[in-house]
Amino acid sequence: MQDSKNLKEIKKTNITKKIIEDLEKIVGDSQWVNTDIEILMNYSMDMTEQVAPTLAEVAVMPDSTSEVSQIMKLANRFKIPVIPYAAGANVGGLTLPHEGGIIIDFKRMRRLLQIDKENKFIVVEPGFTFGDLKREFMSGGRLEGFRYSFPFAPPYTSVLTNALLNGLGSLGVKYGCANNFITGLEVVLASGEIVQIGQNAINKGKYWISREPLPDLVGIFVATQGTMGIVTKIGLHLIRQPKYTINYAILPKSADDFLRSWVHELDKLNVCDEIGCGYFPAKIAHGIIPDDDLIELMGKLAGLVRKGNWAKLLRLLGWPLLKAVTFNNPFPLIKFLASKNLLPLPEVGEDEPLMISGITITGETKNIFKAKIKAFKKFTRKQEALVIRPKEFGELAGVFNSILDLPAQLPAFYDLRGGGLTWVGSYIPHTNVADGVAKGHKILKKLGFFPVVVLRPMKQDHYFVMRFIIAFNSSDQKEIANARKAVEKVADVVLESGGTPYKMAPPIAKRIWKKADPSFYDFIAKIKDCVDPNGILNPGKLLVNGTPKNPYKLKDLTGNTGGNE
Amino acid sequence: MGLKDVKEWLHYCGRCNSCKYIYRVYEPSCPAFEKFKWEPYTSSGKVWIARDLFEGKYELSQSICDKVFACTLCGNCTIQCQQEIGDHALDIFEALREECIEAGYTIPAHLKFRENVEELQNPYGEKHDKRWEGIDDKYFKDSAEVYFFVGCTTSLRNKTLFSNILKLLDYLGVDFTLARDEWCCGSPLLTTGQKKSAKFLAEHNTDLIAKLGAKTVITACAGCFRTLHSQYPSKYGLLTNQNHFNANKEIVEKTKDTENEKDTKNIRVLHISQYLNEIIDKKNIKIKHPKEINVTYHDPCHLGRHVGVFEEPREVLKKLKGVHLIEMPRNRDNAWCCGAGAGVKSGFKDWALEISEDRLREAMQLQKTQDINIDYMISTCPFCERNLSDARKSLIDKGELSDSSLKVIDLVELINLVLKQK
Repeated sequence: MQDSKNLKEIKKTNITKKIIEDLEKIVGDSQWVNTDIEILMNYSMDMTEQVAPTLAEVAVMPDSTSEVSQIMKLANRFKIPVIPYAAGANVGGLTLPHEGGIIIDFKRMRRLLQIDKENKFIVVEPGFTFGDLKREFMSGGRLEGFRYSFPFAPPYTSVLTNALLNGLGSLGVKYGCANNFITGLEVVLASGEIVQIGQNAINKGKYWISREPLPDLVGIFVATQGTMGIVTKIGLHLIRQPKYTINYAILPKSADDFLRSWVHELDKLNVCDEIGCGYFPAKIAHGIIPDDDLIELMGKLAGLVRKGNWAKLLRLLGWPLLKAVTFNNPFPLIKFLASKNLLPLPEVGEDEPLMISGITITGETKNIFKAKIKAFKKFTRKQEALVIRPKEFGELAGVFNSILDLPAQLPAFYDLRGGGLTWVGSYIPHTNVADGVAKGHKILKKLGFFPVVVLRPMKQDHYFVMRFIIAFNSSDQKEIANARKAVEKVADVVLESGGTPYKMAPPIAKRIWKKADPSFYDFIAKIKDCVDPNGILNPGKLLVNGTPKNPYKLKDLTGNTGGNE
Repeated sequence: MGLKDVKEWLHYCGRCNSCKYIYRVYEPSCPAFEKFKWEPYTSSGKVWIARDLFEGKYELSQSICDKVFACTLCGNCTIQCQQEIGDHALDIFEALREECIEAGYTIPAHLKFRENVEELQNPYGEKHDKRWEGIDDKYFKDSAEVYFFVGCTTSLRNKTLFSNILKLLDYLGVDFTLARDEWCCGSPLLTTGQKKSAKFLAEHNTDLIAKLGAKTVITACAGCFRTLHSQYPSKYGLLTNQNHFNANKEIVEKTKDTENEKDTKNIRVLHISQYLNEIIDKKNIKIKHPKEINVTYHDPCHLGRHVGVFEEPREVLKKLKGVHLIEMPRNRDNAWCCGAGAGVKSGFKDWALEISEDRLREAMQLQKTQDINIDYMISTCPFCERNLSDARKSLIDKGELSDSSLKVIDLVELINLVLKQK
């Protein structure tokens, strides 16, 4: 529980009444500039609580790139820190105002600005969310017939920041992380200059089709956490929605075997558009991962549902189970099956991890589609894995949907440990993922957490996503400290396993730079000094040791007394 | 209820932001957030204000009060929330309101409610007798099978609806009575953080119901219905011995046989749509409109999300032959609020109107995508009807809406209209 004493002391910046008035003039209305404590407190922390809270001095909501540019000119003149804030689903303290200053909140810049279905790209503003995008993909939406790589995140998450922060996505197995979808950018630099990057710079913004064949300066703004410039527009590739699509859930007999070998074999088959895996402690997975008895039961169930033999189903299951499987909520089913000992998992202790994988197969023609399914089924039979097509279970699909809605539903999975949720996401060599999971799991178990691990082969299995998710009691100061410690220790496991954490929180950035070749850090720091000589853009992030022009000594950004160096 | 009563839930919001969307539909759910954009207007933002206040991080202020009271308490966010905090969010918002009032931070119009109610037993500041002006004495009986609790908005601001209800109940042959001594149900005070001031109203109305001896209380106002049905029992321990029924008329909550409430034992509190759904079947009444008309139904928050009555009004509409119900995309527990509730219409008039305009625009968009004309938007709450009608007028004035579509009327008025045309 943070109290006001924990709010870090803010270095006084140069924000005067006159500057507030100037901000109001820029955005045209005082309602879009705010200094109320209850407003500023909302920017003082995020859901992950990896970094101790800090307070901004003013928040502003611009409506256009021009307004952002004017804000930057003003801030740069008075050397006031500026922190970009897109939709609000922030992690790792990446939008916390470590040095006070101005929060630029992009909720008014939430437009889908350009759609080019022929050339398969869109242009969106920072506040545009995955929920907004999903709505456009739905029947009757402006983007019906297309798809995009959706992250493992709640829907109110910015599409732009997901791409800029190298987020993972549902199409990762084919296309890699989200920055691969970026076709061009519009950026406001610290000086207020507006820069176009990509082919959009050549054709006056008509065709945001590609970064190639030009010098790829998009990279300056990818994974640099808003420290190099403020991206106000982003061009993104759209992917055509194939004519035929089917989803399956795979329940492998051994999670370890799955990760060590056969997920790679599955990838080699080249039949899956999406492969996502969740690694749950058995006590949670109890209702999701069936043993052989349940496999048989589910087989019967599937057959009966297909035949529409409801009377037999009723006799077989009885009302309570039938009611449970037709209720769009996994918990009654899980509780019921567990209470009847229908889900014994003799080979795995309840604290041990178990796995469920979701895959998607698509096809443009029926023959290709069928051939892919045939190959997939043959493969999974060989592996003795249970394959479930959620639709066959009617509303049992709710179980799988709930998993897809993670992590928004994670606290519920954890029986409401207390509202806190944090994680370490990383990209790791696929050869090391099984050991990495085992090590991370061991550490977290020792610290009293039961992690969910999200795993996903990326870019044709070139590397893997390994993300540990930890639920904690956000009202318990000790547990917050413990969660921070856990995050740092798991980050160490990632680094030892040859991987690198993404969306790195400042304490993790420090660990990464300690391990990195110094020339890498120095080069980024020189670029930073060129594009932001006054060091006003999102200070305290990424370049946690500062730059030659703006040496910055990392303070205790975690508020943690145990685990931070 | 203050923040101490909800303290165990204050830290349970993980700020996943799922409350901002209709779950898996991705349409906006929160009117206040869509308008004002700042986080404290959202569900999670308010929960965090409550948490910060409880932990003493800062003090209450008028600025906080303004944000807290801009919410219509529609509860849409609580439906969309995927964590257990959703079940407690409305209690937290109400507790915040009570804290504001206790600390002397208020919206002036809400204080005026209280003064009016204390002096005249209605929030509109009208003399009590005005409720019954033009109402025939025959409707005031010593006892009857059904007591029609009229409510302040219907009796003082919508006499047309009032007379329509009387007419329909007469047509259906219902043995019912009104009560001259009926007072405000207390809803305007309960939703504006003034629970303590509403207690005398609850006690008075409960005594009145006991005295009348009616076994069924019906009301055509969603706010009155929620208050009598759910809030008298939960907030004041009154009318606790109601029988609650589900759509299949099965008792879902059994009577609590309490000593002090024996006079209201086994009473049923029903919204008129529930009662009509029963009685039209029972009396085997066939109602047919001579020409085909399209209607859409707006779920009042107090009736739908807050109590769970979604289907009965729709069942009644289905019983009206020739009347086609076209659902808006956001319906039932996902319905967009009309914007009038929880003191928003009195405290933030223009803002309330904007929310209602958005609701009508949703129906207008439906007309456009389906290439149809929707003749009526049906409401089952006089307060929703009033705000939606104001918004309709505003949209007509702006040239956005034609006068021939989306007339806002109550379900009862629609039935009478159909009967008249028969």
